[in-house]
Amino acid sequence: MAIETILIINKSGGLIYQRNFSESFASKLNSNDFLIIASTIHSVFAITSQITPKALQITQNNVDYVIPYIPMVGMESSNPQQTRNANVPVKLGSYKGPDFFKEPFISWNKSGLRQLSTDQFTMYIYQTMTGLKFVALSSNVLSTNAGTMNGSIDKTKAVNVASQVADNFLRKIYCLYGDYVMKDPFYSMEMPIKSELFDKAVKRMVNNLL
Amino acid sequence: MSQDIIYTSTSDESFKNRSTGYEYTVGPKPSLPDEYTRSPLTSKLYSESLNTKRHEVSLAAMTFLFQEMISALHKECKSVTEFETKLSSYGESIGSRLLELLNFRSSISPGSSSRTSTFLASSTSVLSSQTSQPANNTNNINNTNSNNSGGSTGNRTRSRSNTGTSSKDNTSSTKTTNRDSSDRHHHHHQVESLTSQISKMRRRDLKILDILQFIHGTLWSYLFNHVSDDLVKSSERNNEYMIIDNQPPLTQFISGSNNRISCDYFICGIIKGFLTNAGFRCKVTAHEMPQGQFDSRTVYLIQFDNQVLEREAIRFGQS
Repeated sequence: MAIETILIINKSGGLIYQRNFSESFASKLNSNDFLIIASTIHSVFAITSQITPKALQITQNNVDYVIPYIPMVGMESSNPQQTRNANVPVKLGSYKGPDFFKEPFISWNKSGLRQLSTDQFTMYIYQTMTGLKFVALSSNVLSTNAGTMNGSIDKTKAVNVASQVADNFLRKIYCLYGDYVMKDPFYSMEMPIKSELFDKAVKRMVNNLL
Repeated sequence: MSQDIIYTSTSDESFKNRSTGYEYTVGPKPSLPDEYTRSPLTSKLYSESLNTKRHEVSLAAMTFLFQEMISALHKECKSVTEFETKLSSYGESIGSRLLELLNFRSSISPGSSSRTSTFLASSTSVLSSQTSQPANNTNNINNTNSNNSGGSTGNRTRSRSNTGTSSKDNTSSTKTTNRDSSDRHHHHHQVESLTSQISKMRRRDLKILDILQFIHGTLWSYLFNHVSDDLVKSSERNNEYMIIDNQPPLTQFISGSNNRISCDYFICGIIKGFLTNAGFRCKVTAHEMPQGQFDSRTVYLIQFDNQVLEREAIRFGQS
């Protein structure tokens, strides 16, 4: 999964962070376009949470929102290209252990937009409990060979796995946000993030993602 | 059916095991479970041994606290130098206390096994009494616990019938006396066991190099759980020494190297307070010197006053 762009949208729909990681359609947009995209995503998200089909709302209780933990998404050790000494433990800021978290977690995004698939890109949204949204634009396009019955089952499975990986990944970005943005005394809430440490950490994580 | 009727004054049977809620006779119940039956917190700070085991503090909690400190200071300070001086003065008060504490701790011999043979006979007896003492302590506490719980529940039942607040006062007073006695016990034991472990008090370091080694080793491992990454003497100036930390843990999340260095003045203050209290007047500043993979490598530059150097020359000579 190649990440092209990561956006962070605060709870009132303002864009507080945006980075491109590859030369693609996204890099042709200017910062104003991204501001518009961010607020559009925010409002579409709000609309979708209102128009959740009735059938889904009724069966809401049966839906499992637990997202399984997928080991080492975006961590150094998951990247075989990096020949790093395995004995040297990577320090993860205030997180202990080799990974940010080890347990499955419950998605807070229960009624809103989770994933948007086009034939150009796929967009994943992870929403935190406080309404912060982490958006990843991935260049991976899920193949549309939904001809046979089997194919469509495989496809839904692939879609599910991709969205789980994306949720795991974006949750780790959230962990980084918790460290390098929230613990920076010079950051003011709801304002654009200018921390170069956060930048570096996000970049490293994106590069580790295959 | 009759059991369902609630008598407002006596109905706390159903509330008995609840941890929260309003009890009609007593008033709002505390939210902690078994607040009354639990033993009062023996005041940790004063009864605790000076030779405690390593306490680990959550880095996240610590950085949040530090962050609040920084932003409060940042608001009230007009200039960077004012900010740095104030932050440094915060650290100084910690450093001057740490001098005493760490000197005391390092004079305690690490274990009874390292004792010299002349003390062996006495130490074994001490050892046996030591091993029995903690058990005694816990027994004591347990006893007071059970006493307390018995007394308080008894009082509570009375209070229910009496609807009296005075009986509640009673419970508290009995508790405090109990606590006092248990504290005294506790304290007594602790003092005894510690003094038996100290064969010789550690002397305050008198040489510059010795005390810097102490900072590099003992102080750093007390603060950060590892020794500092380097201790260097300046080749240009005689009175300058450098303590180097490759990844300062406290300021690792602060972006912008200038901002981060200003925040490192807290550690500078700790070093300064430590040295000044030990009789080495100095100035400590923080500098950034990235090297290799360590982008946030920080150098704490210590500049001693000339009088310190003169004193050292007179006392220890150049021979």
